Amino acid sequence: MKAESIYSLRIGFSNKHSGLISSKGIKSYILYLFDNPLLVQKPEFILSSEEAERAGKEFGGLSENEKELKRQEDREKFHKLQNWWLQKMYTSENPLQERMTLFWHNHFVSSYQKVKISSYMFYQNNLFREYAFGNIKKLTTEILYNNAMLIYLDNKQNKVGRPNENLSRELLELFTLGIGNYTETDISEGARALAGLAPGRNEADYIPANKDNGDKIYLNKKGNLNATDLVDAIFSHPRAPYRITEKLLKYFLTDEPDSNLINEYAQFLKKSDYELKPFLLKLFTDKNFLSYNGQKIKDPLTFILQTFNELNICDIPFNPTMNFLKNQNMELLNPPNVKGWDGGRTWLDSGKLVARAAVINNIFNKTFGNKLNMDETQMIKPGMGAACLAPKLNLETRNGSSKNIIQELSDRMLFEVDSNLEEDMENVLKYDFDLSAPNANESILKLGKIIMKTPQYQIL
Amino acid sequence: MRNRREFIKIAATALGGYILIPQFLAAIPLGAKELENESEDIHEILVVIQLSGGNDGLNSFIPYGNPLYYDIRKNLAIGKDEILKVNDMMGWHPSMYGINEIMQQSNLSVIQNVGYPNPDRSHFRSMEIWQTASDSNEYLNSGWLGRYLDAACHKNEIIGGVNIDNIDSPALQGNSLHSISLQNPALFERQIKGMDLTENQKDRNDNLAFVRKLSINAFEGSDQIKKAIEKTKNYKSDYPDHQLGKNLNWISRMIKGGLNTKIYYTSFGGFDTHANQIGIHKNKLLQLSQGLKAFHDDLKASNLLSNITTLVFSEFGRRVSPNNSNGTDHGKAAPVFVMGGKNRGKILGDYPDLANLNEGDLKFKADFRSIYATILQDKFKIHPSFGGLNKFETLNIFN
Repeated sequence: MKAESIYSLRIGFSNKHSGLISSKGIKSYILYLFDNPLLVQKPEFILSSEEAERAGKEFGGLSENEKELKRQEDREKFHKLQNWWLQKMYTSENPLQERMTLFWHNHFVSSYQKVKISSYMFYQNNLFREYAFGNIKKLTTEILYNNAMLIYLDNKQNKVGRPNENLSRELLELFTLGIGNYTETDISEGARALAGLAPGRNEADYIPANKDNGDKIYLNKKGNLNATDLVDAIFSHPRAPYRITEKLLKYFLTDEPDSNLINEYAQFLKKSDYELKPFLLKLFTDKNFLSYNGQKIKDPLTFILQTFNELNICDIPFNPTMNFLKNQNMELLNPPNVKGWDGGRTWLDSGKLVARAAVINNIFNKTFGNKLNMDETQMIKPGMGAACLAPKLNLETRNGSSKNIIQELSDRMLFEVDSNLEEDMENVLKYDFDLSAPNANESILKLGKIIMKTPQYQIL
Repeated sequence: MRNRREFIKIAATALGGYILIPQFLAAIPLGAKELENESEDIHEILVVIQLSGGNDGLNSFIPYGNPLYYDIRKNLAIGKDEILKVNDMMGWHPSMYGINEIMQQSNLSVIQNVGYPNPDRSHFRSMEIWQTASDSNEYLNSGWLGRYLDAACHKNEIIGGVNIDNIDSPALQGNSLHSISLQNPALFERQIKGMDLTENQKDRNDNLAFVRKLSINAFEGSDQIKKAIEKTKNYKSDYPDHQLGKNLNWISRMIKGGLNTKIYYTSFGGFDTHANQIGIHKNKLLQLSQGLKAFHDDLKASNLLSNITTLVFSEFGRRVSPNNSNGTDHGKAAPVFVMGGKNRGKILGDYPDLANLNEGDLKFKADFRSIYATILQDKFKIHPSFGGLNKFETLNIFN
């Protein structure tokens, strides 16, 4: 695989920017992305903070039937929101911003299944986007004041004298220090400090009557601590940079980062005061970056978006795509539990691998969606012609010999090619292949289909 | 002779993508057992149902005879009149009438206060401890069932274990791949057509070797599973229409279809009841109980119940006191249920001791690994020294 493809697939979700990376060079490309974060408008179906607050207040007074209707209405909005984000990831001119948004979504996990308010899920998602290249410590504070998070981890119910430990536990166990670096007392004291923090209009705030104003001792810090103080205490702990560093390295570099590498980057993160820009720049310009080629199992989202991009599918068929992601255990905005997706080899087992092959078949047969029991009308959207679903592989090579075409496609899709695979590909696109022959496109597509069903295509 | 890779490709191409099992593959003991031979030797099978999220054992199998239950549980306590009483002390949650009936037929045992020393209240860590059968400060890379399959399976046996879930189970993870994960057995075979089934390379890249192995297993496993579910497609079945019911129905069909699979695994989530527990938990227990009852009736009618042991566990129980969100936080010990496999149909162990709690949780009295050791010894006839489980005394669960 070519360097620019390795970068493009890991920084974004496809080969879309490999040309740009190759012309700018990796360092200027990353700096260019830092300088050009995209501002996101609230989609029209998402309620404003005021509307969301009002709807929340009115909800309690509704009859069961009316409530169910409202819930249904919101579920439809939620599907729109999933689709909106999926499109954003597919089309954004700043793919790293969306990659990092996804990273935060899988770190500070909330799921719609529990939160049940699509607007809150949107505002949380946009918070992650805003902090795509931001400061980790600040984001950790922000997330404690985030409406969706407080609902997801039951802090709504956490009140003075009546603690609910859910948020306090995950703050230490999953969001920051990790198991082994705190005590059960820290968790119960943390819950006291978070007591009374409840969803509000734009962000959460303490309800004075539910707040615990007594002294707490948390990670050896004492006083009438609140959420911000907890974050300060956590980030003064020597283990604070490690867990997040390991996750970032796993996300971008390798499923199994070694401890020296984690130490090096963790120390660097601490030194840069938990700012992400220097960290990400160091990572992507690391002289060993490309040597990690082949060290990651491709996640289902990259698998499907890369495939759409290669095949020039111009508008993503939402339902079958989301169904595929659900079956691969990667439903957006609805992860299975607070730990999020584990990644690495958990992305695949025999069943999931088979489902990936089936999806490739369906896309190439233009039946994507049908086999997953979808109504065919759902996959065609207004204004979306059949051409949008017809797979087509672009080639840059002017010299259309079979060897060159095979080389080009392998260079951008396969992390490595061995002699067996080479032989397979040459059997599909024979040496006397003629690019001007009437069936040339079909032959190239046949090659693409073979490539996308190889084990190599499952690896980054 | 051609190598396997070529043969598969030729078979697949010649038949327009339709996969036939090549002769020489069939000669390898892959584990598919023909139905005709079934009566000669019905092997022992373990079915594991993992309740994810931490089931509130105290509100499942309830010590209603202990007044402390009502004192401590308060608004979350289940009314005495509603409880399905087993004896003067214990009874089932009212939505578990199915399980109650299984117990009345002496086909279900409850092991009380199951846990492990120095319990961990993290979902993930505690589940990992249960799945790997480790100590609470020990980290193991393989699961207890994976280690069993490593020892019990022929080198080429690929569906020694079948996991029906969209997440692989670490419990089945061994040094070699002897198990397969799938979500829907009916779709599995159809989807597999045209996959790249290349093997035989000595891959330098571990990930590549891993993915290749998965695809070969999928191919070989799908053939066996397809045969098993085709054989049973006309069998009458009466399972509730929810995920657990469907999964148990698939398991029953694969068993009756003659697969040589020793372990079936499935998980059932939604037990993390931090808030508004009453309704959520009731619904979950109802589904669990309905599913188990249907499975029980089905296996019993087919004379399979005594060879098939079903184990139901969760990563921990919940705090004894409610948390004032009308829910309960993560706790420690909880009961484990064993169905079929000639279990004695008893309540094993002391009643939950609500007067002596550990940080507000039930103390554990029986180590979960004692149950594992018992199953390995009594059902699979493997000495529990295997996998280091011999330090746990076996229990008197089975006849």
